[in-house]
Amino acid sequence: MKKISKHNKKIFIAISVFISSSLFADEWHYNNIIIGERATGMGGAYTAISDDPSGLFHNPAGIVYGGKRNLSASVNAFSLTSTTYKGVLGGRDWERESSSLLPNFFGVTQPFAGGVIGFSYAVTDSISEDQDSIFNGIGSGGTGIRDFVINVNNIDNTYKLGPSFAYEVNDELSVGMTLYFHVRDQELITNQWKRFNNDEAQWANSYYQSSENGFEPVLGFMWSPFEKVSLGLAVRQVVISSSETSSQSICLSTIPNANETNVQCQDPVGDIIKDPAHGITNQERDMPLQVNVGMAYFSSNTLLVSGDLAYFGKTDTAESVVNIALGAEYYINESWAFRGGFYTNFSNSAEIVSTATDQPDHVDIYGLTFSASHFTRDSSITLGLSYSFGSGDAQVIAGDATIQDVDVSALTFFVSSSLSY
Amino acid sequence: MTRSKYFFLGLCCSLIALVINVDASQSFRHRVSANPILSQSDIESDVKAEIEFGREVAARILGKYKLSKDYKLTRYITLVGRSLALNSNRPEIEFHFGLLETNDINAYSAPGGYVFLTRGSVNLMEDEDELAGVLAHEIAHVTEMHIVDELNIKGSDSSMSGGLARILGSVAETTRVAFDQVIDQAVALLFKEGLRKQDEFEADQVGTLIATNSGYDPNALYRYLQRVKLHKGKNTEIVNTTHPPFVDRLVALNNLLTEDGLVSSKNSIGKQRFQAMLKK
Repeated sequence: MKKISKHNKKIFIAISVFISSSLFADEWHYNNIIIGERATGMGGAYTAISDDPSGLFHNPAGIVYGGKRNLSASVNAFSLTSTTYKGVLGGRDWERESSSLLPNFFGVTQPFAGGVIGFSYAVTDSISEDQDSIFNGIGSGGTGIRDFVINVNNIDNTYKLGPSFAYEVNDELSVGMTLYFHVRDQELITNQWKRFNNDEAQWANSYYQSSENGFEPVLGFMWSPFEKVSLGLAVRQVVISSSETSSQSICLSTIPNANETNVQCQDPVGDIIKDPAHGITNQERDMPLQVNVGMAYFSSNTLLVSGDLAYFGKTDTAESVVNIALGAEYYINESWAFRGGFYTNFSNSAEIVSTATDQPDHVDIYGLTFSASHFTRDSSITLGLSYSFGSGDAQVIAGDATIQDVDVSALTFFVSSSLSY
Repeated sequence: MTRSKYFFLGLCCSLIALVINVDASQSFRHRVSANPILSQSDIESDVKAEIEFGREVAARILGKYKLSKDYKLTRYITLVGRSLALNSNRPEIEFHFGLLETNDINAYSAPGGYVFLTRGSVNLMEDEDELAGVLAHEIAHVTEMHIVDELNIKGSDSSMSGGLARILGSVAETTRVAFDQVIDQAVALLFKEGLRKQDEFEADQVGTLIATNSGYDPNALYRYLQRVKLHKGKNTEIVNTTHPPFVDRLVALNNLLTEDGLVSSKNSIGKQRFQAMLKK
């Protein structure tokens, strides 16, 4: 999850004019997309299972227990996310929506050199937001805002791809490692127009682009201390190797001497408009250490329950956080299985306080998942959905200490398949 | 910070569990979906895949060794082999037999019923019973599907959901590459690594029973293996590498002959026929 560095954030807050920049990148949650066919249905409680290609992502040690020689799996997901800020504009709510349709995982495994090798591709975060919001008649009298228009186009994707190798040390223990190449690209364009009650107007346009590359080694262990019980441990750390963030903005105002009240807004004299303000930085983000511990109980060949704890360490800009996940899988016969899960996606931002401004949203999210799989001897097809919800606090208006309530909900449909060959 | 405490509590529990060494296996991971009920079309598809796979492996064998043009001897081997195959449990397989022009002492079988003897092995035989014993051993590898099971050879999934899964997974090319790799693995099993020991013992036992049921001397394979065991030189390098020690095989065969009460039978016609074919 990417964070705008403090330096960049300062630039971006300045150019955003009205809406706080921290709203446009959900870097404040670590568990926005669950990866894998079975894992998604089980709320992501998969560290102690991981015995299919999605184990390449969750815990590479588990792929030695795949049971079949060659496996591949893919997941395609369609997500709808809604965020509603309460009473932002003259008591009105501001609702933002994001949607994305993407193949978010592909993985293959194959026996090799006494172990199992694999290669996987995962999209761990994806935002696609293209929204026009118009608010008319917000207020009257004074110099307050009467009409407000905001257009947002926000694309933010994080990808991982790389090889894995796992080795079965003995019947009870296996180890595995994945080395992901980490890529994040974000492009954000905002256009904001305001008409004040005194008929003055301001228009601001900003463009923000960021890309970063890095590596993410994942070290996994899988241990079975008792019959039917499996314990999993996966440790991972993203290391950013290069990063470039650039921004440009322009703000025009009919308010005389607007520059005096807003450093970026200019009151053009005649037809002369100054060049846009530019900013660029190569500052690399500080990423958290992630440690996942899981336990699974294979009650029978038709019932499986599992639980995960996921710890994310503290960084320069984020607090440490622990998420939990619980899941179950039940086969009604050889051809059909159903899964259910619960998970948390707690905010890694600090609690919002009324003595500061431009603080990121603080929303703790809870999720429920369900999926059904149909098996043939070589393949399986899974259909599922995930619903998450949460509420918390936000500071929508840049430079304003007012705290708003915010509700978040997301619905994801996914279809996935796996094959052995 | 409260969440962190929960995390470390869980971590500590896990570490405590780590110091307890309890034997366990991972077989509990197998889900019921791993044992699907096969339809008739699945079974037919499996046989077709086995034959196609075996044909590819046979082609690799013939790429390594030259196929003999001694049609008379090849026809004789085929007649003996097919009579044995009639007493095997794979009526759906049409067996093909060939003679390889090499002095190596060995025999090979590929899935789908492709069986090859080397000129060196035939020259070491003394009668038709021994020829039948060796051929039956190779037929047993096919009937017991040793390579098929080892490499998980099976037909394509023709069900609607299987087709949809392949479309979603876009694995057509991946599957082709994997098919080639599995053929490589089969060739490696035949020429370098060998099958599992228990598969070789099983082929000795099942082969002996097939030969016996076909009217051949149950001791023939035993006699032949004794002779190979005594043979020194490079011609037995591969068979020594890819098979269990002859001592172990002979002990296992002797146990079979004793426990099942298999008695030697005189087959002078077969000996004469064999010697006539080899002009010994």
